[in-house]
Amino acid sequence: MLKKNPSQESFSRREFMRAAAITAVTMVISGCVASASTPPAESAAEKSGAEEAKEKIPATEEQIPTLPSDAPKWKASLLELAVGNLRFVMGKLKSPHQSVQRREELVGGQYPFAAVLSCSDSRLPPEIIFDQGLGDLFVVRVAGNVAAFSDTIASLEYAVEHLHAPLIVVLGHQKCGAITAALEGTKMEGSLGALMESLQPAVEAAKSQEGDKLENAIRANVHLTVKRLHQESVILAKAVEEGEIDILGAYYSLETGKVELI
Amino acid sequence: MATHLDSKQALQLLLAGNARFVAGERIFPNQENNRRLELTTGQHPLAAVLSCSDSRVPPEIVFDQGLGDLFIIRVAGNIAVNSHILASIEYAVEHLKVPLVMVLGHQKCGALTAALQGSEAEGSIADLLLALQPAVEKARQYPGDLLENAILANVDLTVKQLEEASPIVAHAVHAGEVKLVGAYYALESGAVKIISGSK
Repeated sequence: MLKKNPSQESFSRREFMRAAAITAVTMVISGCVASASTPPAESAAEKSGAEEAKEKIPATEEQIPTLPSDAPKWKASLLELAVGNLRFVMGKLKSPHQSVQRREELVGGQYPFAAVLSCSDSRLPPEIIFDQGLGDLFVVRVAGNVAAFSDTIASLEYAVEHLHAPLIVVLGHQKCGAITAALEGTKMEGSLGALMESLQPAVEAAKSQEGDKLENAIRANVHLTVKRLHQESVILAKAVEEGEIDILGAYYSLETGKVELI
Repeated sequence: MATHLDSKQALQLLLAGNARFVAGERIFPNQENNRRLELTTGQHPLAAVLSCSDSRVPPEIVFDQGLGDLFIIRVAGNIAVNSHILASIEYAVEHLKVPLVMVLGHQKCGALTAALQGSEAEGSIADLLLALQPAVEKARQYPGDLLENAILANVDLTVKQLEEASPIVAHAVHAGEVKLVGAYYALESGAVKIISGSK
């Protein structure tokens, strides 16, 4: 059963709206939760929407679902990320694993539980938006979160093959400057020109879709990058096939701070 | 609008944040919801940092910074061999007008360790190890710890490469708009030391 604490009794409307928004994040976890031990629900008919929303929010450590022991490792990693993102969205960062002691423990080696390929944009440091600390995330960051070059792929291969990270998340984000420039067809010199070119497949894919061009291109870019990692890397493709890892695409909203799987 | 800081002030802020990290006296700045909402219209980072993907060296933690503060490029071995890395730095310099670009190497870098050992590798990892060979070659010319020397040489070579391979960066350096510095992070002490810098 979920524990009710006094602060939850006086749940204001504003808090509820925020909670409802957070419920969407919790859905990210639902892939894990579905197979986990969810607390037995009371009769649904007796509950208001607010109460239901409350129950979906793991507001305390005790409320976070536990995974069955035979669940694949990447699911546990995903749950860890989703719960950390939830803390970030709620403005309740724990900033874990950042002590001097943690730093000293890691001198002998690193054992990150996930790898993240994200954008260089200063507004989305994975360690902050997933509320993680030293040694937790192996992070590759490049403008436009592309995997068009071998060093990006090599970095992720290193994370999987040598460090045994069970999950790779490719994280795109709202209002990505690189994709905005690629969409506008801005003429750029040198390396920036080459980067724009590697974003063109996403721009092309978005053209045929209805709706916001930029949003579509950002999402298409994540999909294409995930696909590319499977196609270009024998090491990663094999690890996915053998069920050792999974590669997931995700989207970060600058406005809400939420990360959703796409 | 870019940050109002010059390169010296930006570097001071980073080193002050690192001193807090070393001492275990972090203040976790700019990480609350308000800061996030302020940034939805744009970013004005005070520096760009090219560092390693190693999970033990997250620049935001090591420099005690928050959302919107650092434009970060991370790749195993903190190299700037491929054009998307250069392009990311160019974007920070030309579009975001960062006054400071730092290349940050670190103690016990796994990529350089593998490059030094001449480990057999397939595919992309083999390319990465090849890209680290100039640093390995340079390190062999010096006495002392080979790995440490290779890590330092790799930072130096990468700083040089940013200027040599990117006309945009070179122009901004000569115009005094941006300063490039090389730095080293010690896993044990948590301290970042500046090892090279442009004029």
